[in-house]
Amino acid sequence: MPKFEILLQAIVNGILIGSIYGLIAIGLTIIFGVMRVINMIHGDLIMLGMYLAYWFVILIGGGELPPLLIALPVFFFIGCLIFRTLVSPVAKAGGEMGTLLITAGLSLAITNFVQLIWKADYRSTPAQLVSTSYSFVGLSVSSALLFAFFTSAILVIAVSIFLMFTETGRAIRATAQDQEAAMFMGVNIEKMMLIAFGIGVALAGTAGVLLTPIFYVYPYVGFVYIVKAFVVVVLGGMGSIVGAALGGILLGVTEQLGTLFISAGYKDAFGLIIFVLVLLFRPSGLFGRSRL
Amino acid sequence: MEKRNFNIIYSLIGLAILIAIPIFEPSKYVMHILILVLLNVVLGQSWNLLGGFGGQISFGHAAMYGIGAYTSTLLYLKVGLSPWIGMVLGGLLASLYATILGYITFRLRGPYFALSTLASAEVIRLVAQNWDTFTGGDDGLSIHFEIAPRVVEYYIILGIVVGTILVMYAISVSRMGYYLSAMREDEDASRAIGIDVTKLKVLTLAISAFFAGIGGSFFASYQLYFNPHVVMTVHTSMQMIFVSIVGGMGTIVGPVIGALLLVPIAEIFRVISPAANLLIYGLVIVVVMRFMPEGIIGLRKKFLRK
Amino acid sequence: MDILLETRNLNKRFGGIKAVSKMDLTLRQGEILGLIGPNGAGKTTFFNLISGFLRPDSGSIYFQGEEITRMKAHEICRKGIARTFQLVKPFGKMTVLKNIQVSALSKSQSLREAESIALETLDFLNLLQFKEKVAGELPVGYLKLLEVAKALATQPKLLLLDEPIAGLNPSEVTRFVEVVRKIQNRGITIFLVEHVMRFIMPICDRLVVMHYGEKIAEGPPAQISKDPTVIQAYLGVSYA
Repeated sequence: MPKFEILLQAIVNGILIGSIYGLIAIGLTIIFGVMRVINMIHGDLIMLGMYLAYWFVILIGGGELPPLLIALPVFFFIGCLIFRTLVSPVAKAGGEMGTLLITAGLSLAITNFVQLIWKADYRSTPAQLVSTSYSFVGLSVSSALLFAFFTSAILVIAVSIFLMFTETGRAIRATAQDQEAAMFMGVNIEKMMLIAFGIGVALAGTAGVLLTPIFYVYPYVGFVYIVKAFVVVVLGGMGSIVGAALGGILLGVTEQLGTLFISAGYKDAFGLIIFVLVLLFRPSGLFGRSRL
Repeated sequence: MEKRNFNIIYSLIGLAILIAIPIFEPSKYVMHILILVLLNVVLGQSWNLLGGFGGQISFGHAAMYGIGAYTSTLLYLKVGLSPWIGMVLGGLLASLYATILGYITFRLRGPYFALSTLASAEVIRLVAQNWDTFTGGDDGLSIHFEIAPRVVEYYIILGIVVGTILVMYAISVSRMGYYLSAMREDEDASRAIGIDVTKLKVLTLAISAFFAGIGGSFFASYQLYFNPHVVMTVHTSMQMIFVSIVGGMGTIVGPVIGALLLVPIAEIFRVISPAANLLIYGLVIVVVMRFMPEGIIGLRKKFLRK
Repeated sequence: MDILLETRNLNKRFGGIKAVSKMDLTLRQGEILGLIGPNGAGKTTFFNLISGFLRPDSGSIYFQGEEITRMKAHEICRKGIARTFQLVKPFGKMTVLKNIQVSALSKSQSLREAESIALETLDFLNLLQFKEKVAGELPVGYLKLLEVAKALATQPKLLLLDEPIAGLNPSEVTRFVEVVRKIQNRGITIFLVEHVMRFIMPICDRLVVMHYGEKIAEGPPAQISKDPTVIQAYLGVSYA
């Protein structure tokens, strides 16, 4: 049984990392909740965000903030573009399966395109090589993780406020709850979906920026995160933002503890098994209301 | 199920040509390409049964393919069992995996089912990667001498292709085939007319997995080397999807066309890089899903209707 | 007349809402029973419980004396209860004939036999001219008939019709009335949910009224239309 400090360190790390997982999952769950699309490129958008931050730091220098501020609008725009040209037409023609397949194909294309131009080498930003950590109470916490945690928290709160208190936000929620009813109330469904997709993508890209100083960047890294994101979304309940946030933290902590008690190689397997178990026994998630 | 684009005369002519080819002593390279095409036809038919006919998208067929490969190879290396018997066992073990998966995930619809096939396949891959003592881990397994001359391998895979297509055809004209089409269109309506959707899903999964497993075993016996990254990743699954979708989902000739496209593309881009290859696959899938979801066959149909 | 279907104290909750509460219902062979009630009264939920698409929380359902409470939807179909869906669910990419042929396969093993049952059903409903048409291309009125055709092809003893005439124009409604009468003449018992009184009144032998998940009235149509409890449920105001 490991010492208490080690346990606590694992839990704290888990919470901090979990906040990013939550951010990613929220983006995915918004997209799913509003338009019933399972966005298979979500992970690759994270990867693109990571590369954005990487190249920014390498070529221009400076900290995390500039790429973060750029990522938000850029990825929002990219999301809208992808929705308009690919997701929306296929959703109308082929339904859930069609969008699943087209986003899967797009994911294949994006990851391999990146591999072609930037090679498969694992990259890390200088920040990783010289990371500052703060210590208190016997724990050491990296500044990058802290920054990620606070940024995620701010973004999550901002998105929640948007969805709950603005007119557009409410219209988006209405679309998620009952498309037909929303249409009768005069909501422009197409536009709401567009915005929701854009937001989801923006959150993914931003999460990537936050992850850059913490993990290696390489073309297939998206796959790892999208699997985790699915686990979180299903754990927390499809379409539930609170669920996604809490689920993210739960996954983060579980992973850190699992690595401690079992083995690192199977770390990713925990999430997967949890995923299938939850789908089987509590498909509405631990927290959320959903419709499977 | 839509009209089967399965013209018996053309098929028999095609088969005759394929049987005759080795007589002309083509180069080893050409034989290699033909074998790859035929293998991919089997894999495409496998995925197509579940995805094209049954409407259940699976992202985890690589697991069944890989299980086939590992089963026959391990049995051969450890126990000396003939790879051809091992192949059948590989198919059966893959079926077993699929049956268990099916019973666990039967409640899941569409995308959730797809995701759980992916998650499950990933777990299997992680096991193959981490259980080094048994599976050789990341390094994979290799067989150190040729199991059969290339020509023999060619006829074996050709035989498998014929068998696979016959089975698929038989299913498509049977009660099961009709039920599959119904299930693809609407699961609830299917239940309402007495279809046991659960049993049908599991059965289809098992049959589909059997052929994927056989394909994997054959690959192992032919290529004589593989590791988890070659046979058990999502890329392998996506290749099977490519073969089914591009030619025409839900048709029997579709995967044949898909395989005929997939292998040459792979060869052309192999010179550049495997990433370029996969990039093309991805782009083609995107284009097909966006503009011609019925695949190349669908294009031909549209063309003929005018 | 024998009792064909019976529910005893059937209950179903969704979260905090009681969708179906203490429903006791008896359905006699050969009759046409109508289930009416304001929107959200629980009618479709009740249908889903009987046809096996939902599991009740408590209570029991008996069909021809056999308990079917926990049976799955496809098993219930095989027992002889067929249903249509409020939002039609055709097998869109298949032809009309194939749609019905697949349904007929539930009682017949051979494709050929199923095809002849399908043709006979099409003839019965005057839909033969559409047999080769792709189902997804049919207009709403015919899609509704296709729903019924698919259900009939399973050779049921009890037919559940869930809002069969929603979205139909008056002449289509009249034709539907004839269809329902024809079906009754074949000896099939019919249980239907509808809102349109013009349709319900002439056809149904008896009516059951649901409100907030509970049965509030039961009886012949003439009696029900004058029942103050029923009127109040619909209008929310007490009429003398």
